[in-house]
Amino acid sequence: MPLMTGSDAVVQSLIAEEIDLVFGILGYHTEHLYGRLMQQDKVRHILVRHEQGAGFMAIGAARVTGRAGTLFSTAGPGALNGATPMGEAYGDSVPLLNIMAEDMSQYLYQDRGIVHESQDQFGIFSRLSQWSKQVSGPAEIPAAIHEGLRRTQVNRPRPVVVEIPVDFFTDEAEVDILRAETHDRPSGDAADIQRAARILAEAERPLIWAGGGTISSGAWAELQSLAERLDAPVITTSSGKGSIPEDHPLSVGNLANQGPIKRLMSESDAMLAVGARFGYLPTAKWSIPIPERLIHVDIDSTQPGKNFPVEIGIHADARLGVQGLIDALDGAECERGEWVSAAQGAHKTVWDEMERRAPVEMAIQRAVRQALPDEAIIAADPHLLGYWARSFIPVYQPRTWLYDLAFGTLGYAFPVALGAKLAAPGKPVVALTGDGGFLFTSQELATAVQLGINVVTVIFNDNAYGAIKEDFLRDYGRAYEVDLVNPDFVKYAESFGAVGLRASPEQLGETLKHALTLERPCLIDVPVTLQRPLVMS
Amino acid sequence: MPVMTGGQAVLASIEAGGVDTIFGIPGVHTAGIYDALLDRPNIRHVMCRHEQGAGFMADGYARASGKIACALTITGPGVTNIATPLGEAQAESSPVLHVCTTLESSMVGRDVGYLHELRDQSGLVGSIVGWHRRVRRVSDIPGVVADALHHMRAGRPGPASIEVPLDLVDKRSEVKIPRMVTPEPLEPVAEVLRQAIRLLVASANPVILAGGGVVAADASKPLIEVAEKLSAPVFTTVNGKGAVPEDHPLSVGCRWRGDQSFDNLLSSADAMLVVGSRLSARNTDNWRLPLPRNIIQIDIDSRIIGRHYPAVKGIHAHARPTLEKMARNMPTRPVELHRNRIREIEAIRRSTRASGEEPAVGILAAVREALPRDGLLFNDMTTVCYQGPRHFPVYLPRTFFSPVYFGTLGFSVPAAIGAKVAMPERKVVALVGDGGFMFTSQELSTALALELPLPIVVLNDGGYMELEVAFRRTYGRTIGCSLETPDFVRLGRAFGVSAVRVGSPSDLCRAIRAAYRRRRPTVIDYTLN
Repeated sequence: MPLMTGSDAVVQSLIAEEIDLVFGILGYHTEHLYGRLMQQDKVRHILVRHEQGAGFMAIGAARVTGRAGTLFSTAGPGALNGATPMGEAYGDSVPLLNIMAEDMSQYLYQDRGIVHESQDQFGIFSRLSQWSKQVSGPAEIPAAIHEGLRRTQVNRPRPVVVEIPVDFFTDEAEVDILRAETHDRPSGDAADIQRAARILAEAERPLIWAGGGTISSGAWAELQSLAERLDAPVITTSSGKGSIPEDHPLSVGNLANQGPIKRLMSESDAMLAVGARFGYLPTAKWSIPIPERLIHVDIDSTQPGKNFPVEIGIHADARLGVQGLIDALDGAECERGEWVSAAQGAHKTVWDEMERRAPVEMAIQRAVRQALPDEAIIAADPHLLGYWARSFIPVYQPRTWLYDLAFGTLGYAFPVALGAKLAAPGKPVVALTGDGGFLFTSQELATAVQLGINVVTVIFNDNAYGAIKEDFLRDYGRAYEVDLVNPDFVKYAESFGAVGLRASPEQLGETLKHALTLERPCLIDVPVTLQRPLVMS
Repeated sequence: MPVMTGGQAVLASIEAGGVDTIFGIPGVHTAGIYDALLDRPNIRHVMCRHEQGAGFMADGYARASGKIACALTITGPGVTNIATPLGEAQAESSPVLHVCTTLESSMVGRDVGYLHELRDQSGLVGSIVGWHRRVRRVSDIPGVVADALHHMRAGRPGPASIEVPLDLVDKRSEVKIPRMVTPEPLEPVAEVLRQAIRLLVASANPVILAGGGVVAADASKPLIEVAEKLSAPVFTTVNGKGAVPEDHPLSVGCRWRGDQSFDNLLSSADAMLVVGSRLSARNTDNWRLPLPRNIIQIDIDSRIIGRHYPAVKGIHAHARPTLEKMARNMPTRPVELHRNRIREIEAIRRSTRASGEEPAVGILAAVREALPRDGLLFNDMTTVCYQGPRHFPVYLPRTFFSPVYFGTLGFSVPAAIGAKVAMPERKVVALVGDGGFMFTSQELSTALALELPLPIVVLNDGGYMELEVAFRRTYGRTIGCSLETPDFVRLGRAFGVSAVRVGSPSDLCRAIRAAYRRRRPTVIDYTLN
């Protein structure tokens, strides 16, 4: 085994594991690591302006590639600045590998007043990850990275942490570098799959519920094929958007909280849920009528049955599980014309109602969609238009819709869009955000300008934490501390050397099309007051 | 007993505990607390643009005024966004009261996909701060708040976090709001104090190290009295700056690594009084600095005493009453000896005085000139600020602030805003680098909304240049330290604040003075070469 420093062990491991993009900000604790990083050209490093940006960009890259997004964190504030994207990746099931520095191994957590000393950094990050390891020397680094990456593949994708005390970057040891490996994922119990296939084939009014696991495991082709064989309408969650093109006759979109779709669910006699957890928002706080005959395929064995009782829980990767069901159907093709028409009718009822009652919101969304080709990536975060877009911007391809549904972090859209663009440079990328949220992460405009990451960001600007304001007024009849003093976002963009544009809601479509032709980082300020998404009873 | 919602109980309890300022951002989870705020005219709320800002503002507020402010956040991202300032407050022993919501009690730790759910929020918060509770019942809220405040006031200060489950925010219950109890400072054990005094009085050449604990305990006056009685030179840590006026004849300033004259002073000393200092890595060159054998250590945190250097006398007590008693029970030294000592100190001060060649020295001198004696300086992690401990003289406690231990970039601007909220009549300057400014610059909006006359000096060298220099020294080349930065003048104007560019110390001094005449912040871009 070759003798090398811990820093070399990190860099050589990343190369061997075929990781080509890493995000971060260098600091004293990672200086030696960066010194080694600059001596190779296989791993590209993206220097950001706040470590939260590194984490969010890594999330963007992970969500468009399906592979673990990777970041370096320095000790103390550098690590803690990444706490929010770690929480986000955990909450929304995104694979991240966070390689973080720590203080000298001999001095850890003794209140010594060392620079960047935390009370218990490892304790903090063990609670923000699915798996974490603090290495006890350079020789352990490749195995720790390898194991972390294995877990992002075989488990529900969530962040892993490899923590390296600073002295181990410079220490030398005999190190065994491990190569990238594809690990087998669980494919589910064969008998359960047979039984499930029979239930679905025999049901009269089956539905499919496609969650984010369908996207992260790459199961969209199988899911669509299964839906077609079963002739079963597909409901997606926000995270599951792209599991089936939303103009497919079997797609009923992400409308499960709407009355007509709830009634459809009440009539259904069997549901197949794939890679979903029936969380708070997709189920309107567990209030929707999920059919009693529920078959739930999930890579996380603790999920089936947790929020809604299941008839069959299948511990499987979404793609393998769905493929297993297709195989078990053995060529059977179902015909349920009437049921599919009912689903299409329910879908149309909701859309027609929204067109009637929310023409402004619907027109904006139509304009955004029409300005973008099908393969364009849309990143959005919590703000009023974002709330609408979860349901009413149709998505046609997988991994083109990036939203932080579960953790609900403000400021997600813009840096995630940057990471997505870096990982998929050939695709147009647009971020949809609010005036409050944008300022959480707007410093990354400097990163975009410096590296020419040409993302177009649309700010739906109501000079308020508008979604919260609506909540206050609804729940308490009055609102407090929600109106904002904002920068002029056009001038703000220009101060960074980016393009700043302003558009009315009516002009947005044309302005967005124009912005995409500029091949520059671009901000579009859209002054507009929107209503909350409407819910039909 | 009054009936209140959990949200109302939180506010009534902090108000009863003497907290009248909250920094935060409203969210769905905290809506019930914010609604209750409308009925609490005696509590001021400052709305921020990122929860990190709320945390740093509460930190700056506490460090500047000695009072406790509350940072209020939502569950999940609100908690992770404030993680860094809580880590900063923990590392610097700054009292920040953090109140946040958490999931309904029945949902905690179940991984059900709840909005804003963390894997283990309580464990996370408990790993960051030294004191943490999750309340169980609405009726428990006043007691938990009182406990937190007592902990921060009676012991070593530091952040405390209280989690309020969502289902309690709007739930009504009978609650008893206790009257505020100001803890009595912990008195020293009389016999130990007598022995310590005897040791110090018997020593020929005692020295005194004043740490941040002297400032936190408001113990400057008795510390100076003890120094004068002993004719002992006083040096400080970075957080101890201002414990003794740096123009006091017995002050040798803030010890700086590599200053041989300091180390000569230490090696000739036969006793050392350490007050409110961890004897940290930074202040002892990783514990390689030889200290006198007779160390008498006063600390409010008993765990610190003797931890890194053995103490011949450890006094676990509040610094103020301890030093007061020491001063009362010490004889004054002969005048001749005192004069000699002052001459020695003057020689040391001459040898460490700024050469005036480094740009940092000129900039710091300009800031000092623009700031009155009681003006407040907030430092960040940037090249010029690294010279501040040595080259920026400080005359009063609670006037010099730095993220010295945790070392957080972007601390100074929001912390300065917090200080200004606490002490609107005092003049404040924030120094920050171009890299650091980007971390927290959204709070320009907050400062503008508050109409604060606050000069923010952006020391612009186009990158993380501290690291650039280190790289070039070590590797002869560099990776990614130079930054594309915005045009800070245009950035400031985009926010609607004043903004100017200056290039010399004298212009800087004028620009700071001009900034004080405006009812809004001023971004001053100081371009370094």
